[in-house]
Amino acid sequence: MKHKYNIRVDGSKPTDEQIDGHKNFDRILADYHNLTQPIYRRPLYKNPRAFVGLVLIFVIGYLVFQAVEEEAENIALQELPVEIRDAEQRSFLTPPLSGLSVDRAEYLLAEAGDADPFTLKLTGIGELSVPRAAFITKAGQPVPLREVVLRVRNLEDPLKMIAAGVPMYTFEAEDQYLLESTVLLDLKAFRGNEPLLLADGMRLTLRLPHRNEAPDRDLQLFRLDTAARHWQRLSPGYEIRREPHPAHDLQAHRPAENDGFDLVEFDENGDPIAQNENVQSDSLAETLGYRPELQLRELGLISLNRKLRPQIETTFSVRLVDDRGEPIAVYALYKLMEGVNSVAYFWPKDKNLTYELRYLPGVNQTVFGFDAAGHLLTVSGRALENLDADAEFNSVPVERSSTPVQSIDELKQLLAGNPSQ
Amino acid sequence: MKTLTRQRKSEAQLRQELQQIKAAQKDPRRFGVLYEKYYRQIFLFVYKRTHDEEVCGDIVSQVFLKAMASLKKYVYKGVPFSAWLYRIASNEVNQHYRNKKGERTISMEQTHVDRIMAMVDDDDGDERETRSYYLQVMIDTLQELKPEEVQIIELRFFEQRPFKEVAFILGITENNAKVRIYRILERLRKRLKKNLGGHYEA
Repeated sequence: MKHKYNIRVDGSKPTDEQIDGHKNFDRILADYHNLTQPIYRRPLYKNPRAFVGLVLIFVIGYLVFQAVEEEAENIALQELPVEIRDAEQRSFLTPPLSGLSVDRAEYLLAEAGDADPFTLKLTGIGELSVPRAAFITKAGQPVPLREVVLRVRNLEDPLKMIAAGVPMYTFEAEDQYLLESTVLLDLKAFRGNEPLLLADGMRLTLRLPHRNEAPDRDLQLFRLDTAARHWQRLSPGYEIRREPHPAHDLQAHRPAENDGFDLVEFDENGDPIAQNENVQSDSLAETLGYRPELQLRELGLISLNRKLRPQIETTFSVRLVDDRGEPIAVYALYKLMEGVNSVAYFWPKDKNLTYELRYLPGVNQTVFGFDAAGHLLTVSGRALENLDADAEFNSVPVERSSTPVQSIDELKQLLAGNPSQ
Repeated sequence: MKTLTRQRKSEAQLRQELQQIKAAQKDPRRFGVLYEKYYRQIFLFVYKRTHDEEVCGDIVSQVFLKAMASLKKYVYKGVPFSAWLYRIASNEVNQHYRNKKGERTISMEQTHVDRIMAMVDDDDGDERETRSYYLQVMIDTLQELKPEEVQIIELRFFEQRPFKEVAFILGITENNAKVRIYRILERLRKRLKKNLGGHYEA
């Protein structure tokens, strides 16, 4: 018979001492705690090693995530046409076409003499008052005025804004505002080719021409921070002075038959250019207008702007198409608005070349762009008036100039002949 | 037929034990009272099935550790707390043999054999000679049984547990335990008649 069991009859039993030798409740209790309590009794973040480990894991995970994201973004960018790849970044202070450049005026301060401050007339802009100790080198050495050359670009014209690549928008609390410029100039100082800085505490005073209108309290002075790529508001930065025009005797314009005055407009040289209706003396202050006076503590791109929020515009998805209906890539899509001294920019967000165009039907606007060869691409006003806001995208045919645009004047002529409206 | 008798716990003792269990459920350190109370009998229970002091010590530690870990789920079902510990111990011993794949150990005493055989044999022969045959028949019969049948014999006749506890420890119904015991006793009776008949013929 096969034995399945080891059967013991009347076998020995362990003694009480032997049994007690195995008894150990403390060990059972300790095993119980090990079994039922988590391995890490302290939170991981309170354990220095575990904390460092967690941080390392997080950092490595983040870096891997960043690398993957960047790679995906690069691949997506490589798929974009060359005209629009990094267009938003490239267009920043970079002319869209090599032929579009804005002339700069140079002012030698050699004739400053002993005057302090020295007052300089900037053609088409206003009067600039320059203290004698205004300029220093990057190393902090003072530079005599007679060695200084001021280079000034007046960019007030929207086409010049485009040519200079000046972004006329700003973001505040994630809202995009369009900037309407009253004054936009690029003011730099040099000794030879060495760029100079304004000394600490020094400021240049720019007195703008007299304006025959009520003082505009919405104007704000901005400086374009080219490193941070945004407009920096300089507050207050400028003053509004109500004053009669110094070049004229207002009494001379007072008609004999009543107590009012004729409203007279003056040009920058103080010469009368028009006479308007007779006004009453109690509104004299308003009719006299004002002279903005800018206090500049830094050189660079300076602008006196009004912020416009494009709330009333509708956003349309737009694709520019050629004769065959194929989408066209343009360097940027620009929009000019009649009566608004600014320019709106639009860039496609993906390889589908779809632009989110903000447009206000019924108002005079001009929409255009440039192709890679520099041809002007204009969008017909009729096509823009028929845009469908609910469509996935609107195919908009464009008209291409026969030759590449060579200058701002030529661009102005072409746009004048092809208004969108 | 003779019957087995075993001392039962009084109502007061059961109530006191339940209080000890509830206290241990709230505070594991209070389990020490139950540990002290039942350690020896659980040790002997396991020892009889292993006959190895060290192995037995390890198994008993596991029994009490699992009892502590499961104590919050313990609900009184009309059997003493010791039956719950025996059930855990029985499972641990089975687990030990499943892992070891070794030969199970059965410990019994001659008095147990005598008592069982007295239940199945009404004849009186030479006492000394009959006892040796009883033992042989018992051993032969046990070797033919399945482990779960052996466990029933152990609990019912060697440990003298009531049917209710036997059923609880093995996880079967009380009726099922009774039927199995009856069948095993019938096998013993048949084997005894056959063997003793041969012996007398010789």
